[in-house]
Amino acid sequence: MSRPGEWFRRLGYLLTRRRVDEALRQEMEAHREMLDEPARFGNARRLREDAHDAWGWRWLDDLSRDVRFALRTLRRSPGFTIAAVSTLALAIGANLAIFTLIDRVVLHPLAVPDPAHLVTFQRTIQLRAGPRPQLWMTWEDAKDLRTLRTPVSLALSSTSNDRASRAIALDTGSGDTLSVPGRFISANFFRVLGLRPALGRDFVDADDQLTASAVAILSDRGWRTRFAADASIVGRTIRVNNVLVLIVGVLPTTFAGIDLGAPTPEIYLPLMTASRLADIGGAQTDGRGRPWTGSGPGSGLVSSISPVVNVMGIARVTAGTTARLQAELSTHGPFANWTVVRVADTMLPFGSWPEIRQFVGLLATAVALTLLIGCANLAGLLLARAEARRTELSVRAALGASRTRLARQVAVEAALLAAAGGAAAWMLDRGLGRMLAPFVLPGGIPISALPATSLPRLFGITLGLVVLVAAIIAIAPATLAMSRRLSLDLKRRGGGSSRLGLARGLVGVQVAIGVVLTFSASLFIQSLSNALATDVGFQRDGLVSATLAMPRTNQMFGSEALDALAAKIRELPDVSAASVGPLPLVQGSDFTYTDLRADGARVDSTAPIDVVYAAADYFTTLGQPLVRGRDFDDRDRPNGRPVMIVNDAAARLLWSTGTDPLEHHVTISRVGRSTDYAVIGVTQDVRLKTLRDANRPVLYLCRPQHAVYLSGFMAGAGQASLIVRTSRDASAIASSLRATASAAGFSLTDVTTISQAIDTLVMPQRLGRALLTLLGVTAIVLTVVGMYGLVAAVVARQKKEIGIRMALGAKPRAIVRSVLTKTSAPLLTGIAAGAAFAWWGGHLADRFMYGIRGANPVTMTIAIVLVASAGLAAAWLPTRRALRVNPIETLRVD
Amino acid sequence: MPREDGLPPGTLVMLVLRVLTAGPLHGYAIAQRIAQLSSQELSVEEGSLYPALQKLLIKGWVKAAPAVSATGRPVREYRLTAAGRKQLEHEQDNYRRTSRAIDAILESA
Repeated sequence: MSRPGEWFRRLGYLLTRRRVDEALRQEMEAHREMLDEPARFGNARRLREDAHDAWGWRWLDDLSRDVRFALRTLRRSPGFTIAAVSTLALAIGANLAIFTLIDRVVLHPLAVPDPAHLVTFQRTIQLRAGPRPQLWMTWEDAKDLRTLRTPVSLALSSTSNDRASRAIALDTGSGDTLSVPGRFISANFFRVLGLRPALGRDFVDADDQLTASAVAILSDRGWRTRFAADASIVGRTIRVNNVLVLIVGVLPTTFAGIDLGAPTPEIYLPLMTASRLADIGGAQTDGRGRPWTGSGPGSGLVSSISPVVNVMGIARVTAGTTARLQAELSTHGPFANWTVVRVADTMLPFGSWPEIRQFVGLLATAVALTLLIGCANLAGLLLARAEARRTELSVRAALGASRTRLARQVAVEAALLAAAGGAAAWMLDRGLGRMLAPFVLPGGIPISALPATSLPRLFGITLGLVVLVAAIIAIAPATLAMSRRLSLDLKRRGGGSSRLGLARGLVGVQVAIGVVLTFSASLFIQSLSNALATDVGFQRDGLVSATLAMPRTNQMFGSEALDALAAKIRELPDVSAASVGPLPLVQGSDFTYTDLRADGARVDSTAPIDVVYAAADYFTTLGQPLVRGRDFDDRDRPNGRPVMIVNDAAARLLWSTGTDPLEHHVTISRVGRSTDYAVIGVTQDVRLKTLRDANRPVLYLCRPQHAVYLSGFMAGAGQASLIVRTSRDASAIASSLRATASAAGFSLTDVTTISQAIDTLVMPQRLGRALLTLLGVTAIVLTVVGMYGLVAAVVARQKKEIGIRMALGAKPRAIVRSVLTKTSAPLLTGIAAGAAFAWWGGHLADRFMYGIRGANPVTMTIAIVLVASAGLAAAWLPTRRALRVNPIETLRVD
Repeated sequence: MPREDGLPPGTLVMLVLRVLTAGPLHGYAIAQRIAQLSSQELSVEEGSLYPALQKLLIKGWVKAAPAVSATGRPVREYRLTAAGRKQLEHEQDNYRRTSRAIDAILESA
């Protein structure tokens, strides 16, 4: 007989059992009546039960009885239940949040079918700092790539920092124009990825034509943030750089682009419509900062009609074609040194992986420890409850209940708590997701830019956590129920054999984890306050910055247009200084150079040296003092002597100590041209790119002296930054800044203060602090509860002994000592173990610390003192109760 | 465990299937029929019969259908299925082979 058939019939019985059992009852009744001596018919109820058991559902009946019993027990102590469920909800919820994060950034960053067979093309370029992978190719190269003989379908997308990708200004119909991240893609892009729009349709080849009417597909993010997830969005017309564009589709929520380091694209537009849609402004350039002249690399026919310069090629391969593709590539002229790599392996910003892994590992450890401390705490509480029900369990064991049956009943209670915790965590998940969303991972990956975890996976992770928790918290009470000594307990009631060993162990675990989490939390708190208090080298208060978009014109515009704008802004009320130039910690530098000569001698530096284009008032606006010489001013004419200001670190690198750099010379060679600069000033060091850049050499060039070159560069980048020193806050001054800029033909976006920019920079630390503080406080609370429970149990157990000793004249101090000796062992061993673990693991956090080391004695002392005093405070209450024991009363019991 | 019904162990299922070949019967009738055909030599206890019937239902060898007993009581009639018929043949073959073998041993001694 087929087993499925059997199971099907068993299931059928389960569903109709009431009717079947009733039919059986009547049948047996008839049978009994027809017998000559009806009394011979056995116990009808017993017979029915035997018949019923034959169907194999006995366990289910037992289980449902256990569940009902456990529900009744839990309802009878609502305080315990609520505390237990919320502890578990927090512990499971924190794990859910972090493991979903890991899923989103590590395991499934690319939510398309069969991501392993999605490849892109990469070459390694040698920089002075080491090899670096490069994923983009020119439009010309991409055309060439399409002639490959290996049968793969190739899709193209503009890269995140291609000027066309960054020049998409969206008017959703509200009249307000927003600059949004987007991509220009070939019509087959989503088909190659294996993605279907969640709403509307995909691009078709007819959309990707020079003369096609403009269409767009929104990403889930674009749809939600710009259009409030309007379900009727498909078919609506919007404006992209003042061109009417029809929205034809919306992508699924699990897709967040193929480049996690860049802002999530909000809109996708067909590649061939880029020349009409991308507002690249300024002069045409070849995308490498050089004005486009109509000849040279990257300037063929296509780039003259399409502003897209840099594209990424993506192909879907089958198992066999990867090797063929690679082989063909190596003999394919310009692609000889390109390799085929998986898209999924290129999604994180280059070099960020070790840091991300360590950071995520740190968070995962913290939440796993939280789960463990929550479980240890609950196991302790459940153990105490099982202890309290010892007599009941003993009686049932004596009446013949099997030990497994009793253990199962206790375990069911634990499983119910775990399930309720899991359900609550599932409901919390949205909230926790929202809590994490504003933070940024190391490598500058905004958490909100990650693809969403798919629902089945989220459910799977939750279920896994619930099962794990149930298993952990059921073990201790179930062992008690399984205990062989249970039957002995009836004989010596009241005394009870000691299970305190297990309870002590559980409290020890809680104390240890309490120390670890408190330690990590205080590390992150101190580190963040160090980071925020860092002397950045310029005056951060009163500094406002804005992104300056170049006017759309085919005229070359000079540096003077920027200085004229700065001058107008300087005249605004409440503005004391203004300039156009890169903001430290946000834009960093304009270029890095490697080929330098100081007074003719070649400078041997392993790291590229940063170069910043500055103009008059740049240092004044930043509040970055000059320590020697003078600022750039009218004397530094475009055709005059090239001048330079260096910072202290650069002076130390270029000249021997004690040399005054003024009037010394630096030669910069680039693109076959050498320029000799005279040093006119020395400025103080600033934190240029990160808060850790204490001694980074920087060369400041006079922007007006690089006008032609610069306009090309800025047009290529499409934007520059305006910095303003003001006595008012950013939001108050934003509108007058915008008005002044637009009168001069520029547009301004992202008006923020430098403090906000620094906030973004330390986002991973903020995330660490927020999460660890939450977990640390939870850990302390749980440790207190656990310790209290243990001491209370010890006192309750020794009530009689304490009564007798007090009756015999023992001093209170002796009583306190005896209680504390019995309970301080887990506190001390827990602290020792936790401190050792935290000390050993401290170096994991080093990379994320500012001005503090992971293995830090002061922080360790803080953590130990906190946990120890919390533990002692928790012990104090029950100990005091021990002293109030009335000898007469205790002895009268029993 | 010694059985009081005189049934060799493992044969109850076969006997039930056998008496059902003549047509559908309810529980009491099955017990009656076995006793009758064996000249009251074998009797089936209700305690064995009903669990055995559940097993036959689970295996799909019989199907139950509502009916009315001679006394006017609602009962269930068990009807042999094709699978049940096959199973019966299989068990009969097995039984005969075993029983011949045992006979051979008993007679040789």
